[in-house]
Amino acid sequence: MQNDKIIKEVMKYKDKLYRFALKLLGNDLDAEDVVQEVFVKVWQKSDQLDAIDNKQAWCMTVTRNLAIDKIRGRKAVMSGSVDDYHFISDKNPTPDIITEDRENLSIVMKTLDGLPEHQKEIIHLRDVEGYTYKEIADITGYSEDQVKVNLFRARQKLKHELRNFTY
Amino acid sequence: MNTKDIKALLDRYFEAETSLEEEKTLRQYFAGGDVDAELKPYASMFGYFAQEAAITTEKDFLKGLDSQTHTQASGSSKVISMRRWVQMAAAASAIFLASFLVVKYMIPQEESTNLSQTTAANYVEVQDPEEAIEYTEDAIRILAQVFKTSEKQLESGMERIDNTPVIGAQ
Repeated sequence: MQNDKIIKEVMKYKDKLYRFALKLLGNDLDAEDVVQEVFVKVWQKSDQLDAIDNKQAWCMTVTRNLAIDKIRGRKAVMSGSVDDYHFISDKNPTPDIITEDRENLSIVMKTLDGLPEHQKEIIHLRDVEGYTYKEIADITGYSEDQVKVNLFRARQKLKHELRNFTY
Repeated sequence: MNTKDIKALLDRYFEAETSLEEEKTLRQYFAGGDVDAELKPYASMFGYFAQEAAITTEKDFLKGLDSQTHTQASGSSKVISMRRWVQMAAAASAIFLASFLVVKYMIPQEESTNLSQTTAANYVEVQDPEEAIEYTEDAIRILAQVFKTSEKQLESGMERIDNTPVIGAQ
């Protein structure tokens, strides 16, 4: 059955859809609602979807549109707490290294939170999900040049903040 | 790849000039746990991205799809989670309680009896959640009006108290 085939394909990237919705909404329940809604749309439009080459990009765009509808009028979404992340840059960490890593992580999260929404979105799609500029442009509706310029600005901001932090 | 090459790649990364393949090389370097001291601050950034990429959901979207597609054969749909049902139920309970209190304490007894009869005559059973929300919003508007009137009365009372001369005051 056509529906089953497409749903099976979309299931492969449900986590990408969920992460993108979570990044935009900042709340796991809302993110799951959005992804569920994407699945319903996929089910209903399976005939038309067959003609779309990049179904993943289409689903990401639908996820984005549904999430934007949900966040309209809300306050900016903030990342979670530093305690939610466990990253250590050294194989043999000392208490100092652990402290430094946490402070750096805090800077990264604060800097990302302070970026304009479209830059947050673009850096997520590139650095977390690994999409090409063309795919990001397809998903977001920005031109490839806009994607590149905004990625440049977001990364420059991160570089600047991390470089300025000294112990 | 040596530290010098990584630094050069990192410079190009910040200029948004790296390919996906080169960015993968950077991620692998920073995940390796043997990062040059000078580059350590950037390790947290790549570590953060890696952890973000590892986030998954356990929700069974197929199960949700079954209930959605069985109840909505066609047309547009809106997914409402259990939490929202609870919120709507809580809102409905609050409205019911507030309405009960208004009828019992704020409207004279005779008027209240007439109101109850009218309400019973206009009783409508709502099945559609969207329609239920509309009814709830209407009820909230009416309640807000009642509270606004009470607030005005309170303000006018407070004004009178403020303007009352106090015996013995200097």
